[in-house]
Amino acid sequence: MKYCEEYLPALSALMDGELSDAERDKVLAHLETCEGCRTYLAELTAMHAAFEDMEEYDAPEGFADGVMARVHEAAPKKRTHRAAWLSLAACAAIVIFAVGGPLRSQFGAKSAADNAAPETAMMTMAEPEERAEEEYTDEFASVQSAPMTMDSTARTGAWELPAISAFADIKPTEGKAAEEANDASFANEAELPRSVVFVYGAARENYLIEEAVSFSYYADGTTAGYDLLVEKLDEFLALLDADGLTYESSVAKQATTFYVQYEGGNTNG
Amino acid sequence: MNEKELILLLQQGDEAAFETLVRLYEKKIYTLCRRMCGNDEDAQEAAQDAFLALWRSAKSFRGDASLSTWLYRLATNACIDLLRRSKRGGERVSLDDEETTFELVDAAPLPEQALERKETQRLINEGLAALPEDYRAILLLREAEGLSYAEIAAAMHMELGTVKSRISRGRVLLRNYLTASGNFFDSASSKVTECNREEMSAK
Repeated sequence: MKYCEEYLPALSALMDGELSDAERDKVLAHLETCEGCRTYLAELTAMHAAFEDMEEYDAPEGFADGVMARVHEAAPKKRTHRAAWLSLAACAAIVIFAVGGPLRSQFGAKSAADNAAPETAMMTMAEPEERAEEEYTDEFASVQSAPMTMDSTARTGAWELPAISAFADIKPTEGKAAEEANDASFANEAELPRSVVFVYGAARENYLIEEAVSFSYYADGTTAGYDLLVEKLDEFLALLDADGLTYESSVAKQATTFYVQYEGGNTNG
Repeated sequence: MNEKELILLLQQGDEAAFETLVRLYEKKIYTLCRRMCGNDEDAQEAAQDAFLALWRSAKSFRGDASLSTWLYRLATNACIDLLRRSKRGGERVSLDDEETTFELVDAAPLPEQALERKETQRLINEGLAALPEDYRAILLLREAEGLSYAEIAAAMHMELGTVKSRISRGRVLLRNYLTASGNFFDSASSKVTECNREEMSAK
């Protein structure tokens, strides 16, 4: 007997003591009648217990000294870094997409045409393609909401389709197990509209990460992908506006989160 | 000098105060980074990055979250950044990492229980390493650091609902990994029920 998909977040929150009384009563009542969910809860509990035994680590000898050394070493360079960033920002294209169902299918279709085996393609870095940049520009021309500066050196065309590539790393996700894992994990995502934002050239700037973004990551020094709530998008765009960065955006109604491979380039940039 | 005073000094650029804070938090942050990265070298770099980010962003620390929450955020970001960078460089964190797999080889004979515990730890670490970084991070904050959903929401700048669903999803993924890997639920829990065994043997 399998657990009930719709109860997974509640079971998880039950174990964490994060349910209201009413919610807890409801889950407990369900557990009385559902063996699958009881088993799942027991498994969660077993994992929880295993975490408690996790090893702690002492920082290596001289760790703090190393930090202080880096503080000193970073200080004189700071200005150059900032200057470099500003000039980069002036010419870099900051591109913002809110990715939703319609866009996803467009990109999905394109990629399927470009790649005989799109699933494999997700896991590898896309090669820059001039053609892709053209297509990209056309695609967003209609939804452009701000004047767009697209420097030819910006790697705008270099990314592949939005892909669930983050899941490509999971070992048991092969064949059937893979479908199950992905289905299960994306089933609950529909609750909040999200956007994926690509930023080129300013990825290292802290404020982009600290403000407005509900979750973020960046792959190297020059390219970033941000995953944020659509409702935070305005706030985020305001930050970019404040720094005089141009961008283009579209807003999706569909709630979707993607993990996207993007083109790197010069990590020292 | 208490933490509040140290933070005030840090915000004025006081290096001594900063160093005191580093020493105060280095074990906590290093442990988180070590668990995130899975090896000492990356953990050290990420933990240093995190403290460096603290130094640079001290002025924007508003004190509405605790310093440790802020540091968790900086450390998590530093780890995810580092892991993604090294992935691009081709040094993947591999599930087949020989070091991990053969960790037990040199171990002196252990009582059965301790052995079981070590195996459980190995499997959990392996399962964590198999997760996408963001799920690994949120699970560690919840399970290993013991943060509440509200604290995680503050640390990660997420909505509470998102925290809840991501933790749940992370657990599903980890559970699926551990189920597929065979004996975790046998050794970690005696509560494995019959229907679960059926499920596993049906594969």
